[in-house]
Amino acid sequence: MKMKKISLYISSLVLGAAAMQSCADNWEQPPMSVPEFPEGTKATLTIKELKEKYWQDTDMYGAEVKTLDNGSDAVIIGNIISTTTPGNIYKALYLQDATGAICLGIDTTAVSVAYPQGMKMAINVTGLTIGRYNGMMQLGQLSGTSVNRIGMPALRPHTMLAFRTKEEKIDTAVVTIAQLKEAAKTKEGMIEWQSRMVRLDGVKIKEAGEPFANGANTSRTIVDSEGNTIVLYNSSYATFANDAMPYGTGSVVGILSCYKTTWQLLLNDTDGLIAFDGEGAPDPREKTLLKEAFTADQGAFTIETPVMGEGLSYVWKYDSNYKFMKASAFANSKSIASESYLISPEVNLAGYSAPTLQFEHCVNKFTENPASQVSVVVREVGTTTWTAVEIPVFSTNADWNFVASGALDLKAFAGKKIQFAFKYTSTDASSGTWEVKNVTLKAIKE
Amino acid sequence: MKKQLALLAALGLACGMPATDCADVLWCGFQAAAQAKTVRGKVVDESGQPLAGATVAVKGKSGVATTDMNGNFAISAMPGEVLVFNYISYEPIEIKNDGLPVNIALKPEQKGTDDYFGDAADMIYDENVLEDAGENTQTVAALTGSNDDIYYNTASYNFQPMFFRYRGYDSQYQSVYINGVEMNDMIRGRFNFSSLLGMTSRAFRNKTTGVGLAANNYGFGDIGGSVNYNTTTDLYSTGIYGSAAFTNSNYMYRGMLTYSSGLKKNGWAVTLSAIGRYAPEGEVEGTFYNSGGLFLSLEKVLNPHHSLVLTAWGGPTQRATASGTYQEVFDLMGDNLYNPNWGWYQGKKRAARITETFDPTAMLNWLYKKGNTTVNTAAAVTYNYYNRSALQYYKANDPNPTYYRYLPSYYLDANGNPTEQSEYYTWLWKNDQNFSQINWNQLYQVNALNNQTNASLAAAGMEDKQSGASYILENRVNTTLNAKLNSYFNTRVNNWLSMQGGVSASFANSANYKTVRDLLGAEFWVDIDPFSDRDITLAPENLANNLNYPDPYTHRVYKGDKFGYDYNLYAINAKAWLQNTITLPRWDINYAFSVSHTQYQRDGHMRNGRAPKDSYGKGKWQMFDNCGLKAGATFKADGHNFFTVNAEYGNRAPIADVIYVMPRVKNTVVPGISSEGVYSADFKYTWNYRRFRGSLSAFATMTDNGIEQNGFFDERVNTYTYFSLSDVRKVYKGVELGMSYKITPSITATYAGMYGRFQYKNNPLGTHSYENGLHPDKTETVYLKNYYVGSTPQYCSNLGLDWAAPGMWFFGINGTLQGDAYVNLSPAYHESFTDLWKAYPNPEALEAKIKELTNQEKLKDAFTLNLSVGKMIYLTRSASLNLNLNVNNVLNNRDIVTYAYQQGRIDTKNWNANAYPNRYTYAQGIKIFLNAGIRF
Repeated sequence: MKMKKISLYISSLVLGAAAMQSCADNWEQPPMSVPEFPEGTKATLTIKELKEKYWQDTDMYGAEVKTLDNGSDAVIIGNIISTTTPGNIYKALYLQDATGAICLGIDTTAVSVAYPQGMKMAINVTGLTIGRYNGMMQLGQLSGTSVNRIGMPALRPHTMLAFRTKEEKIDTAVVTIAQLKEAAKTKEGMIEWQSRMVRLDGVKIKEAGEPFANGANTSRTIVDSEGNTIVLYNSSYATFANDAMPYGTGSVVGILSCYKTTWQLLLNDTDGLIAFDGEGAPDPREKTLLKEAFTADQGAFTIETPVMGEGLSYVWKYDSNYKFMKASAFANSKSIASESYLISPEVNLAGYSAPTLQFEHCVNKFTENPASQVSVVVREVGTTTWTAVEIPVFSTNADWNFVASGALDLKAFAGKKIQFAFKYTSTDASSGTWEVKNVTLKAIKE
Repeated sequence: MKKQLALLAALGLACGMPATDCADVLWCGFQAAAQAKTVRGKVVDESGQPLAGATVAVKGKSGVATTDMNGNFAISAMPGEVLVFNYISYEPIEIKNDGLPVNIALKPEQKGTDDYFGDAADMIYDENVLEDAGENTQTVAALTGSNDDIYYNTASYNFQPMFFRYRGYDSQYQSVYINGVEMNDMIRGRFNFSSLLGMTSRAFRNKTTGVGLAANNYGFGDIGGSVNYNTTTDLYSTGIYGSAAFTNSNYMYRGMLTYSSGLKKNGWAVTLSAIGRYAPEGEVEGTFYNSGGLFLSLEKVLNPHHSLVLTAWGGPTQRATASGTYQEVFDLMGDNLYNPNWGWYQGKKRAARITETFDPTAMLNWLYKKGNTTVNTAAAVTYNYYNRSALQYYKANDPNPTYYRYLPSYYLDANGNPTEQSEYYTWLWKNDQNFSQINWNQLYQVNALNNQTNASLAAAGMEDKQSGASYILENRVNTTLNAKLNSYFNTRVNNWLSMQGGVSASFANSANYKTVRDLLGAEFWVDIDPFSDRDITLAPENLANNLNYPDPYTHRVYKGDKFGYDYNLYAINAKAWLQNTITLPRWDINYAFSVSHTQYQRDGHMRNGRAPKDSYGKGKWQMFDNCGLKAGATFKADGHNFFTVNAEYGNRAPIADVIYVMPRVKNTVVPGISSEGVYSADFKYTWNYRRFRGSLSAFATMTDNGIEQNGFFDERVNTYTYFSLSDVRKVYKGVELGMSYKITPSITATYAGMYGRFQYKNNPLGTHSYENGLHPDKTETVYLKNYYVGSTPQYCSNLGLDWAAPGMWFFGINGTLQGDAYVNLSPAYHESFTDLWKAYPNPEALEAKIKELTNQEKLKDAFTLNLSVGKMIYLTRSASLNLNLNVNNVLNNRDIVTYAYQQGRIDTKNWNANAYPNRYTYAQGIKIFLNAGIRF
């Protein structure tokens, strides 16, 4: 009775208090303070219309964009989809509207300082040059008979920037490589897809683990599940040029550029590589314990030649011309018996498991199976017994092309301090040439 | 049927039926009970005043009688039955019915543990003052406890860990009176509890607390409640009380001695008290504590109607303080109590931040009492000396070890990964105390090098090229003289009406300046503005702190000299209030009205180069006229259940401390200052049964047109910036529940909980004032709507169990969970970001960035468990020994953020929201208070 009364009073008060608590309680944010176009700015034609109007089947041309038939200026409005900040896209801007996209060549490395990615841009293209350069349609200025990059002072009066609204966002088209290959065959396809930002889903990068660019502008290969490929074109000036490309399957978002009729996908930055699952990636605990490319000399490797037949002054020797180590017992036009070791410095495998040895090599001119005359041998430091380890892959023995050796399994030596050697042998009847470079010994740190 | 009759009776009463009939009607209600006879009687309080609305019941039977406004009751009971008398906040009494009239006096309920743990409660009033980098201080209001409000009482003792603020209010909304004189600081608005010197359990033991909007007899009060300390000498229990305590807090040792003579036949009474508190090193490394105080209360009863009371107390305190810092630093040091404010010097820990206070107060009260009227008239003078030391530097590296460029995080690479340099700084932090603490020797060395250069310049006759100290210790001094006159009365007009009222006048003169505390081996300090120096070519005059110096750009100051800034603030306040309280059997009603006038003036003693026209001399008086209205009503449903509603409306003058945009520099006031509007209402249901009592309240308060101020280094303009918010609207609302249940007569379970929302509710105006004077003041909208009032938990929950065991033992255990506290936000993060779009040039990215920058961090929830044991031993009839041990935070939770604030500085280069991270202060872990007291 007593409790009932108390509970009744309490519950009615709590209900009353709950009703008092209002719901619209979100933190108020300051308004976005952003630039807008001047009143009355509007597009007079779409990018697709512009491209259709000035497309010529011949390559390498430039044509002046004229006022429209109704006398008004030709104005396109789109979103800037490219950035030059990471340096992969260079002296260019890509503008996309709902109908298509176009490239604008600008003669400055700081395009994105003036025209940041993500903003809305209006270009009065009247008086600019439009044309195709190696197949790629673009805006710029006339240089000779062909379109070329335009300088900032000449371009600036033609452009206006504004902050786009959320509604003006243009969704990135999801395409397949097969679709793009088909499109490259027709003028309509090229007009539709050139310069657009696209997304490829479920693709791998063939050269995963290698850097985006290898000292120069580098074409990498994107492969889909059906084996179709498209070029991923990376600049050596990109800030991410030396980063390793991701392993596994994921999505790629990039801008479709082309060289003649070959698509080249350009990344704005590495954010364009989305959700790569990392499958096939090496163990992150893997450490490189020895790396010798032989680019300058024989490095810390030593040479021992217990058998050196008459007429030989050396067997293993550094080839400073071609920058690799070379073994040969062919002198004065004949084979001479020999046994020579190119011996590595000591490698301490204490605390490591699954050591593997990899190198690039080339065998040639052997008259017998090269595997019978060359081998990799390993010994524990302090012992003298060499143990042979199988080399998985040999070159053809018919040309001078290097091949990757594949992984030589050294797990028998895990935890020990070792040296390995490239052992070359010859007889008076038979000798060949063995060339070796890019030697790497890796192991898993426990 | 009976009940309805009783209710009718009550209604009749409320409508003004003759009182004498009333009891008869009530009695009629119980006539139906056969064989029983009517028992009549009267219920009064200790002073003999009738208690209206007290309940009388026959134990084991239903039906309750209520006393009328004369305290009379009539109830039907059989001889031998037990009558139970109840009145809220009074101890229930049971009396066996012998058929005769019953006249009884009820005694106010006492919280039984006071004798055991009063000393421990002193800890609540210790210096809860925090200092932030912007030289602002933050004070946490101490709640004063109250006998009859379980929630308020629990909050006072157990919600401290997260710096709980009652109903989310700032301490200026709580009025503290001493003998009826309002003692809140007129400049800062709040009462400085540490001026009571830790004597709250003895010298300031007698107090009356007004919770929330409740009516008080001594003053109008405030929305955050009020307390009146009564130091009238004859209220102290006669004898000597001495105690010694050990704790591991700000201080380690405390000794206290109090003597009370009691009222002698010659009409004199005296109470004397002395206290000392000391720690060579406090719980926080590098801090210390020295404090002593004396208290006197002297009374002369002139005749039965007149007496005079002189109260005087005061004492010096010197203590080294810690400052909050970044989580990165706490993590580096592995210690959330890391204190950056000390360093090794000559083999000892030397503190840079030392606070020195001395607050002597004297007060004379003239008490008049005749019949039902009392008048208390007082004159009071208080002098507050407050000084904080700090390192100052000029054209030299920041001496603060936590300066952001000394932290490893400053050297991380673009992806946030460690670099060689960051690893090195990490190593230094972990291994080198010359690096992780203040490096005093280096400061002295740099100054010594200056001296050498100066000597060779002097030899070359180029004294004018000499440079002053690179580092000094400065004192930031504030002294305030307060003079107050106050008189209030309380009169009972008749049985149901009493009246209270009062008038007061106050004057405050507050001086603010810096002095050179220690030149750290240098020869002199040049008094110019270190911030302006960077822009000297733009505005050379800005360098000068005082153009009135004969040599304003090279003026040399020496130890003890004033420098930097020097100004006074004057405050004058006059106030009057009047209140009626009406007591009826079913209703208690009160209403009150107050009017006040407040005026402030700044008086600059330096002609500052950044504001040569309005820095020197007296500014205009800033005047505010204010009024307040409050009213409350309690419906006493049946003697066990009470419903109270209170409301207050008023406006109040802003405190003097916030009305100037840059008080250290100029007389300019914050644009659009006006009085703050205050609207508050609460509703409370109270039940009071023999074993189970408690109350549930709901409250809602809006303050409008408020002013807030803070300061920070603004990277965009490269100078220290004062930031004033005006037109601030805040809403505080919530529910509070407090209840206790006697499981057995000696074991009581108590629960107290609060759930509230304390928020900004509009987008106020923010005014930037730049210290170096290179830019004009700038005012724009600050988007704060719905953000939270910072650094107070918005829910609290406490469960406790008390056992008054046989043999005068007492055991208590309680646990508190607190949460929903947010960092104190910096308004600089809530203005329109004009250049942000350049870095985030599309709406999705911009919106996400704005959201990130404007986020208000929610602090971690905290759980604490406290234990207490007490024992009382009676040595003789009057002499007793009490021992008590309180162990707070038994679980040693070292992860409780007591205070956190967002820095004003914004990274406008990279817009990294964490570039200048929030600063935190943590609560200490396990805290012990062991006390032995003896009374004879």
